[in-house]
Order: sequence, then structure tokens, then C-alpha cells
Amino acid sequence: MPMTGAPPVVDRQSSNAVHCLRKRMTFSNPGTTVALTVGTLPAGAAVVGGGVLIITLFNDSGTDVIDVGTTVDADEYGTLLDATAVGFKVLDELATHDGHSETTERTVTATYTGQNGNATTGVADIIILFTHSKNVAL
Amino acid sequence: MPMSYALGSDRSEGNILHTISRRITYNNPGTAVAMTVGILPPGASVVSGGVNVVTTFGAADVIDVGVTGSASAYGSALDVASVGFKALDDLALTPAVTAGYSDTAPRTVIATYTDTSADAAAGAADVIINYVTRPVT
Repeated sequence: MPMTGAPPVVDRQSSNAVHCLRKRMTFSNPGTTVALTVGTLPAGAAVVGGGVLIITLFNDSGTDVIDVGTTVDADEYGTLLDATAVGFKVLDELATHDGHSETTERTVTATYTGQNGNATTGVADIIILFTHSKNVAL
Repeated sequence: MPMSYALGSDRSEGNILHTISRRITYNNPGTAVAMTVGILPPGASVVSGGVNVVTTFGAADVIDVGVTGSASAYGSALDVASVGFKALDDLALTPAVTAGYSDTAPRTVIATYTDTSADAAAGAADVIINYVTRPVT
């Protein structure tokens, strides 16, 4: 727990670690253009990293992309991340997102879109890294 | 603790960012010799990391970071001729998953220093791997 000086009374040890949400999606679960709930960010959480780990490539005859965001904005954190090749696709919208809330939870979603709806393969893990800011004295 | 997993199967340690790190120098283990950095558990996903060069190596010297069987799966030819944090540059590429990831088996992370000019007399760096573990389902 890296600290400088005495911790504030309201501080919590869990606030001093990077936390994560992680959930698997496939080409058929929940299916194209259907939002998958990845998890819930607590109020005050700051998303600091993450991405989509493509474990098995998605093979729609058209394009295959994954958006990562919230129930408010489906591509808040990542837009049209390429799912046609395996690898870790970093969230590309963190520098401009406006989904932070000091007071309410945020439900994180991921949405796969197969352009022609005919994919037969595809496995990916959605990974969200975040820190708590709530209850930390500023 | 926000979770998307079934209650009762949760593990608190699974919801934080983990790291492994190990120091490599110009002569330990030496040029072209793979150093074991650590072992990732099954399902571990490398999300970031790099090589923090604290003492410069020789000109044009590089470090590869990967796993046993694919020595540059995570980072290839990272420049260690200057100090600084050299981020892993290959996580988006295929070998990072085909070799560097497994749902069922551990992965041994290695780092390999190459003394390109065969003249290094200094050099120290910490190899840092940040990863998350797979949720219990």
C-alpha cells in the first residue's frame, strides 16, 4: 500500500489497488449487437486501462468489432475494436470519455457486432481496470 | 467490490491488477540467455508492462520479453540503450495470445537481453509484467 504520510481516516486499503472487471463473450453469447453486462463500477471509480483480449478470432463474412462502454454510452471506453485477429486490443477512448460519476454506479457493457450475422467462431475476454476515488481524502 | 461473477465463487485477489517483476543485468544471466521472470497462472491475461531501464546497456542493445517457446511474444527488441520505461509493444499481436495466453496452463515469462555489439560493460533493468487473473465461474 504505497502511502506518503499517515493515511486519512476514511481511506480503505482496497482503494490503493488497481481493480478489474473481466468477463468472457463469444460470437453467440450474447450474440451480435446484444450488449453483454461486464460488471458494475462503483461510484467514483476511474477507469485507467483495459481492453479486449481476443482469444479466438471472430469470423463474420463482414466486419467484426466490439464496443466497450456503459449502459449510458455503449462505446464510452472503446470503439470498434477489431475482433478479427487474436491479441489484446487496448481501450482507445479513455482519453476522451465522459462517463465518470462521483455519485452513481456505472454498468459496463460490451457489444459485439458481426456485420452479416454469420460468425461461427469468436471468443474474447473484456477487461476493465479501475481505481477507487471515493472515500479517499482529496 | 463490484463483481460480475456468481456469488460464492468470488475471490478478492482475482479482482486486482497483479504484477511480477525481476531485474536483469548485462551479465546476469548474460547475452542471449533467457531469464525466467516468473510464472503466470492459467487464465492470466497480460494487460501491460515493460522494461524499466535503470542503467543503460550498450548501444543498440535490446531485450525481448515473452514466454518459453515464444521469446518475444509480449515485447520485441525493446531498446535498452537509454534509461526509461520501455512498454511492451506486442500485446496486440497474435503470439501474445497463441503463445502467451492459456485458459488451462501456466505460462513461464522470460526476458532475453542481447548485447548487439558484444561490448556491454553496464546495464540494469527491471522486467515488469502486469496481469489480471481469470474470474472464477
